[in-house]
Order: sequence, then C-alpha cells, then structure tokens
Amino acid sequence: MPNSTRVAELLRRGIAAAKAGRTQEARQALLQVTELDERNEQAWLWLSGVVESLEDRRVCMENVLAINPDNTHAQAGLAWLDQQAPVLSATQERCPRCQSPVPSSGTACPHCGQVLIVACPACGQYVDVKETSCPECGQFLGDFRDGARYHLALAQAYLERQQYVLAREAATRAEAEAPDDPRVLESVAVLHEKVGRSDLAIATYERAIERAPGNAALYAHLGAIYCQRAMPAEARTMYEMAAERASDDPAILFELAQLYVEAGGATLEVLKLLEQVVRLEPGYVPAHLLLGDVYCNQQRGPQAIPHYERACELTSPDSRIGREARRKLGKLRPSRPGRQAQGWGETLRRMGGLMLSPALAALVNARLVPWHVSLAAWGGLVAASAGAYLWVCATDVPRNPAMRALFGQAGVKGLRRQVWVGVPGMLLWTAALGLILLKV
Amino acid sequence: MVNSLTYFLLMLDFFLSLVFLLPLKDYRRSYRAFPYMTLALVLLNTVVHILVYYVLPLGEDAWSEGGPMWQAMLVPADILSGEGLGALSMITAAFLHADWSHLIGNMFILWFFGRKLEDMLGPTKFGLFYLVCVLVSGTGSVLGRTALPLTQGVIPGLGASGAIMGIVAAYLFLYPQQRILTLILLGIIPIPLRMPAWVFILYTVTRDILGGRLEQEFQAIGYFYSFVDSFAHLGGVIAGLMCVYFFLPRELLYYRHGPDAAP
Repeated sequence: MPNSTRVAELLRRGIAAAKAGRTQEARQALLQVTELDERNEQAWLWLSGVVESLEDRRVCMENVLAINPDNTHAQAGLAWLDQQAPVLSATQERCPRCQSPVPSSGTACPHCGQVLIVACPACGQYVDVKETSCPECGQFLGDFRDGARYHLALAQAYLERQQYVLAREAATRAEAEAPDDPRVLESVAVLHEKVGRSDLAIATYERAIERAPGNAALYAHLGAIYCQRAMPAEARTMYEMAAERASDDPAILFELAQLYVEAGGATLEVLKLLEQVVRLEPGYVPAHLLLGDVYCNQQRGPQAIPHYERACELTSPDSRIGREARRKLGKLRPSRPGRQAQGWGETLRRMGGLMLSPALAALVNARLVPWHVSLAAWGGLVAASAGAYLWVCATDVPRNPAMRALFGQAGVKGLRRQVWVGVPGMLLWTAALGLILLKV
Repeated sequence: MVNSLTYFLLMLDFFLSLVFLLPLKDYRRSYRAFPYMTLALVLLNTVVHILVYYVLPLGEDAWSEGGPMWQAMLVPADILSGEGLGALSMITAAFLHADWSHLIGNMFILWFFGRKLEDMLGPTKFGLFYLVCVLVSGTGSVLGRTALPLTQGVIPGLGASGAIMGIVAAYLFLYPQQRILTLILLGIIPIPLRMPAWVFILYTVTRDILGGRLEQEFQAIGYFYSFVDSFAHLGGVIAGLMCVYFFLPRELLYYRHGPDAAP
C-alpha cells in the first residue's frame, strides 16, 4: 500500500472509530497517521479529541495551529483549554495515592477518592494536591500524604478566612481519611461546630465517643453543644458522664455545677462540686463567684463573703467579673462604718437576747403584772443587764464605745481581755437569772 | 350550743388531723460544727424522763396536787396566784414529758430543726434562745389556758413542745423557702413529698389555732376537746418569730434587710 493511501486509510479508520466512541482504536490509528505524516492537520485535530490528558490535547491543538494557523476548531479548542487553565494545570493523569488513571478534568480519584485538586485558602486558585504550597501566592498547603491532618489544617485555614463550605468539605475529607481516630473525629466535630453545623458536630462527637468511651473531654464538648442548643437535660447527662471520668477536672465540675444551678435544686450537690473545684484550683474565679451566689441564695451570707472576696482578689478591678464580685460583696458586707457595726444599737440588740430570759422570768414571777415585779427582781435585772453587757463586750461587740474608751481602739481584743471581761459578765448574768428564778 | 362556725372548725380540724406530717430530711447541711447544744437538750430531756419515771422513788400520787412533781409542772393558776415555783416551773415543765411517745415526738422535731438553727446561731446563743422560747411559750400557755372557761388554768401542763415550736418558727423565719422532705401519713398511706418549710409550719400553726379555739368552745359547753397545749405552741411560734432577731449574727441580719434582698 502506498504511503499516502495508507495514511488516508488510517485517517478514515481513526475518524470512524472516534465518531463511534472507540477512543483507544481511534488513538492508535491517528497516532500512526501522525507518525507517517506529522503535518497532517486532520489527524492532529481528531487526535486532540481522543487523547487522555488535557496536556496532550493542548499539544495536538498547537500542532494543528502550527500547520494551519487559521484552523478555527483548533483556535476554539485552545481558547477553551486556556479558560480551564487553573483546573487543567492541576490535573494529572494518575492518582497520586493509588496511581490509577484519573479523568483529566476530575477533582477526585474515582478509585480511592483521593482529592486531586484543592483550593488555595489564600488566593482561591485550584492547586494540584501534590503541591505543598500554592504556585500562585506561595501559601503553604502541606503534604497531602499526611492524610487527615492535611485536610484538618486546610479546613482550619479555610475557617480562618470564613470559607465555610470549603472548611466543611475539608473536614468531611479528614473524617473520611481516618474514620476510627477519635482525635481526628474530635477535631472534625470542632470544625463542624465552628462552621455552625452543630447537628453534624453532635453526630461526629457521638462517633468519637463510641471509639473512645473513656475520653471525658468528648463528653464535655458534647455537653457544651447541648448547652448552646438549649438542651439542658442532655447537657447535664453528658457533663455527669464527663465528671465520672474526670473527677479532678475543675472545668468539667464547674460546668456541671452551673447546669445544676440553672436547673434549680440539688443545692448540696452544687456546693459539693464547687467546693471541689476551688479545692482543685483555688484561683478558679467563676467558681468562687458562683459559690458565693449559691450561698447567698441559701441566705448564708457569711459563707458567701470569703468567696466573693477571693474573686475580687483574683481579678482586675476593671474586669467584668471583678466588678460583679465587688458589687455583690458590697451588698453582703456593705462598707458600714466600724462605729456603727460596733455601736450602741448593735450592743443593745445583743444584750436584748440575753435580757429576754431574766425579764420574762421576773414578769412571770410577778404574776404577769409589770408593776408587781419585786425590788429584788429589779435588782436582779440590773445585775443581769450589767452581766449581759460585759458578756457581749467580750464576744460580739468588743469595740463598742465604752470598751474603746476603756481599752483603746482595739477594745476587748485578745483572749486574756476577753476572759477578764466575759467570764465575770457571764457569771453575773447567770447569778442574776438564778436569783430571779428562785424568787430570792 | 355549738354554732355553725364551731362545726366548721371542728370539721376542718378533723380533716387536718387525718394528715400527719413527719419531716424526714431537708437540704441544708451543717457547716460550722457538731450540734452539741441540740444533742445536750435531747439527752437532758431523755435523762430527766428516765430519772422521773424509772429511777427516782416517786409514789403514785407524785403527779397529783400537792405531790412532789406537781410544782415542777406548769400550772397557770398557780403562776397567776404567785404560788409554786413561778417562772422556774416553766423551765422544769419543759423537761418533763407524759410518756415515751410524747418525748420521742418532741425530741425528733427538736433534733430535726434544732441542729440547723444551732448551725446558724452557735451553741451558746441557741441554748439561750431555747430558754427564751421555753419562757415565752410558758407565758402563752398561762394566758391561754387561764382564759379557758372550764378548767381556768388549774390543769398542769408539761412538755418541750412549746419551746420546740419556737425553734421551728425560727427555722421558718430563716429559711422560708427551704424544702423539707416530709412523709405525709394520710390515714395509713405514707406519701413522701418535698414541701417548703412554710407549708409544714403553716399546717402546725393552723392546727394549734384551731385546737385553741375549739378548746374554748368545748369548755364553754362543759366538755374537753384536747389535751394538747395549743396555747404553748402558739406562744412558742411567737417567740421564734420575734425573739430570734436578738440572736442572729449581724452579717445575716444585715444581709436579710440590706439594700437588696439578694445580690
């Protein structure tokens, strides 16, 4: 067969095979044509339609135009290839992981699912997954062989640039890479949570918990999501399970206590938890603040005061918590002048408690008629008052005006002074009450 | 003649008597110290009971008028006539009980409410407060029972219940919203229920007011209604609500009446 005849025959067979969709047969025939006649415009043109990679297609088109610069088909084809440049530049013939052939325009390997191109988080250009940094902007992308870690890092980078859809896709790819690794699942769940898909985050945490049931942090994270979704019962359950597994984690114990407080009730349990938190971490300011609140709600102001004081000490005076602690402390222990707290009013109130019994006894012995109270009983009452005064001076109002005048600003301070003042007062009061009761 | 109001009160008291409240647990913990004074009072009452009924050689007529125990009981008529031990008899009567069930019932309530109050006041002040409750409830008993038309205060009274009602009322004053796990005996059916302290105390005070009123009504027509000293109970409640003010720690008092109720 003469050469030109053979070329024509091969060209005809190639075109027929290409039209029939038999690309391999067409490719073989047309390649033979180009070998026999490398300036065969028709052969290059038809070959461009049956080659496997886009790069080969571009070469074929360029050959056509080299032979005939006015070939409109080749011009249009090259223009289309130029438009697809970002994608085309990233495509490859074989999957970088499983080495299987992949479609030239594919974004993921149909055999192993390996992603073939990724969007650069910085400039948005599609980049070959094999690239460790973006050729356009130089943004570091990482090594795809790191698997889940690579996708997690990418997802984080997308998230930082508020590219939420890309971040979610990357997170999903990371989970697909290591579906049994609880740490990866936890990171994926965190990403889902950050992109606002708490439903996905819950499902991912549940899968992570199935794989690592002893990990308290997973329960705590899940509890936090339930809190955000206003599902307190579920949140409590999760935090209770977390606390079972990490009974020395102050943050978990505090969150659980907070949930109990919000639910109302279980006050003893709350106090127990919070006391444990401040024992584990004495500088845990919110725990001190909450402890103070719980004691206040129980009307146990004296117990609340040290916790508010501690919260004040640990925080800056300008911080929100510091201001709140100071405000609450101010209500519990207002800055009343010492003179008032240790004044005559307080002294009389204290004495009133002690004087009730002798006064009532004297009244009863006088047949409940005040003017029948005997002179001796009046004497007893005066003695009881004196005893009561000394007693309260030694215990409750040691700096009342008279004691300050007598002993200086410190008043009845120190055990020795207290004994010298208090014991005679107590004895005097007891003797006076006895005299009144016995109607001496 | 018994009028319709009395019938109504009688029916109300009857229905209330079908319900018996037994406090089992509240949700407060003691934080300061062991309740020594409460325990001492419980032990003292028990020891006195054992001494009086089982150890001391008291004759059968010891409890009748002129007997050795008569003066130790609270006889309102004697108080008002200036006979007997006077105020001292109020104190001695508060440590005497009619029988074991009387003693155990009173001591149970004293232990339940007393240790919480002692936790707040401290043992010394709690002891002094108990003494005040004894005297005020005794005074209430004297005033109330002397006004009864039939007995006119000649029947002696005994028991710590008046003072214990003072403790209970003070508990209400301090912790009105505190939940108490109460076993409600509805006939023979026990129902455990968490109820606020004020419900428990309201029930008790209502029964005492009804008891006092009905006692007066019944004695007016020549009958006795009950031997429970409702007037002592009411006196104890008044003591508890009014006198605890003098014993409270300053911080707590200021907190309760400060610029805002709670921070």
